[in-house]
This record gives sequence, C-alpha cells and structure tokens, in this order.
Amino acid sequence: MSVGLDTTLNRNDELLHASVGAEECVMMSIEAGSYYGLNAVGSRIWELLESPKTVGQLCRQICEEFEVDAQTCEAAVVIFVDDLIKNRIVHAAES
Amino acid sequence: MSSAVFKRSPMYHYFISGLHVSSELELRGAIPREPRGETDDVSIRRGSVPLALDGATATGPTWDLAGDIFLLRVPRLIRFRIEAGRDIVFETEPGFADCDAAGFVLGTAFGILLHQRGSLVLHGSAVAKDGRSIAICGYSGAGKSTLAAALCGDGCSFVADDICVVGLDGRQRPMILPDGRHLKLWKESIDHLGLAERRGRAVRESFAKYYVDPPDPHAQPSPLSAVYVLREARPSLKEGVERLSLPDAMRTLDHEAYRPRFRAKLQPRPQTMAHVAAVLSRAKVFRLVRPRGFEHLQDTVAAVQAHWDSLG
Repeated sequence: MSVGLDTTLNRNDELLHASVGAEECVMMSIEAGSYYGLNAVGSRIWELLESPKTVGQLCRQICEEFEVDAQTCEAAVVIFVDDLIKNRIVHAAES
Repeated sequence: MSSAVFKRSPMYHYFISGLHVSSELELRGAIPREPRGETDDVSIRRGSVPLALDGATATGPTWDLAGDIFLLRVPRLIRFRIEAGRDIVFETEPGFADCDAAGFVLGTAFGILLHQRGSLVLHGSAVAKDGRSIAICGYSGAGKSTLAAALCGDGCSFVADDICVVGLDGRQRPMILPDGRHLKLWKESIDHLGLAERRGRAVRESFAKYYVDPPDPHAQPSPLSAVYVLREARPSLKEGVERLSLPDAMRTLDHEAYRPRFRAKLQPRPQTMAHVAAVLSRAKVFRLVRPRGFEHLQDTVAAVQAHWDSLG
C-alpha cells in the first residue's frame, strides 16, 4: 500500500520507547529483537502519533514547528513514514 | 552450657557497588570496611537453601524464581537464595571451600541481587580521572580488566571491575558506583603490568587468576562520560574508535549487561530501557577496535586517553 496524505497512522503499541536527551528517542521491538533511533523530527512525529493521525496532519504540524517548506516536508515525511511502516513501528489504514 | 556453642559468627563489612554489606562469609575479593553502626543494605549469611523453590513462577536448569525470591544452583558447589535485593543466603556442598564460595557470592549472586534492586549492571570495568569515569565492556576474556589496570598505571583511578553498576543521580546523570572489590587479573597480565607486589590470593584454587589490590581505588560515584566496547582488530574490522549510532548504542548496552538472561527475568523490559535511555542521554558509546597482545597494550592506553580527552 502506498502512503498518501490521507493515510491514517497508528502506533505499534508493542514497541517500547524511551526519550534520549531532549530531542531523540529510541525504540525496541521485543518481538523482532530490533532497536530503532529517531532524531528530533522523527521523535516529534512519534509523539504526535500518541493518537492516530493522517500523514497530512503530521505534515502540517511539522511544517509549523520546523523551518521547512510544505513541499519538502511532505516528501520527507512520506519517505520517513513509509520506513516506519516497513519496520512495523506504525500501522497504516486508508481513511 | 558452654558459651562457645552460642558464639556469634564474625561479621565482615564491605561497601560493594554503592551498598553497605554485612557478611558471615569473608569475601576475599572485596575491600573490608569498618561496620557503620546501622542496618546494612545487604545481608549475606549461611543457612539452609532448598534444592528448588515451591511455587516457582519461572524456572531454568540452574534457577527458580518465585516472587522476589531467586534460587540459584551451582551444581556440586553451592546454592543461593537471594531475596528482594536485600538478603543472600548460601549453602555450600560438602568439600566446597569458603574461600572459593566468595567468588560466587561476589559475582553471580551479587549480580542477581543488583538486578532485583533494579540497578543497571554492565559486565565491564571502569576507571576515573579528573572527576569523570569511563566504562570498558566486551565479551569475557576481551581484556577489560587488563586495559583498566593498564589505565590505572597511566594516571587513572580504579572504579569497578567485572560488575559495573551505573546509577542515576538526582539530576539523572549516569554515575558509576565504585564496586569496592579488588581487580581480578590473569597472572600474565599481573606480570606484564608489574603488579606482582599487589597480587593477592587466587580467585579460585587452581586458577591462575588473582585478586589485585587496586593501586588508587576511587571511593565516590563518578559521572560516566563514555562506554568503550572492546573488539579485536581483524581484516574486516579496522583499528580505531567509532561512535555507535543510537540504536546500536542501545543494543550494545542491553547486550553488555551482567548476566543478561537473569536480568531479563528480574527486571521489566521498559524499566531497563528507560534506564539505558537515561544513560545514553549523557554518555556516548564507542566501539574500540584494537589489536590484541601485551605488545600493543600501551598503544591502546594512549589511544583511549587521547580519545577520552577529546570528549571534553
């Protein structure tokens, strides 16, 4: 399934996560035995996903909080979210 | 009635990994302390230890777990009942010497007790200088203790060997707690480092590994600035120091835990993860790839010192 601005994202609640310093975050999948690290933007996206959101909603929020134009932001967020889905860090559902 | 029948066992006192310990067993390998006149954090005593725990909720070939009680069996040698991060009761099998029992008490049994208390326990050594410390991790036999001893011969003070507890202070800074033990070194390391005069008894009879009185033990918790994970250079792994990415650092600290299989049974995973993340907020983790052999040891010491200094 390709990721679009309408795609709704849910956290995978089986992942353990913890903040590292003020901005970064680290995650672990006990099931897969894998570890993931998220930078400042990635951590913010994870934080925003405490309740399900569409990719479009995430983009608008990130655009407001970080110095980035809408087009660049959308392109980067879609690639990043795609990666999160492939690694089962979040689940996607078409809305 | 002879009063000798009721003579109390002598008590020995130690300060191990930040804990006040009283013990009926003399713990060769730990540095003796004066009694402190109030209740100790940990009590170690001889007693009857069952072969298995009733009502065990988890069990393995050498252990049972029931609530906050952990039973550890070392076949033909010794059994431990370790409770609530506070009490260690041991029973030796006939013919097993007390001086050899001390090694098991100070090692695996104390490691389990620390896990019960929720401590983050790394399998590594630590040294300090200028008010900061580093931990040195790596697989058994990687040369952690030897490198720590060599750093102590180059201006550092000794903090911990083998069991390296990383606590968090009131400001959430990771601190290495002095282990209050002696260094343990193989004979060839002792000879090479010129520490023969400081050599104590053998860790176990028939072992060529000995306790060594640390030259300048550090008495206070010391802020942790970096963890170095030792690896041996090979054609596909070049010498040098490389910072690990966040997920690699997390994985590494998870794997470099002391007796990680027991830790997994005794500490909830989210708690361990939060603790490691707090450590990683302040301390960096590096892979230190160096050639093995005593002929390279001083070069490795110089490389670690230079790298440590560069962290500021």
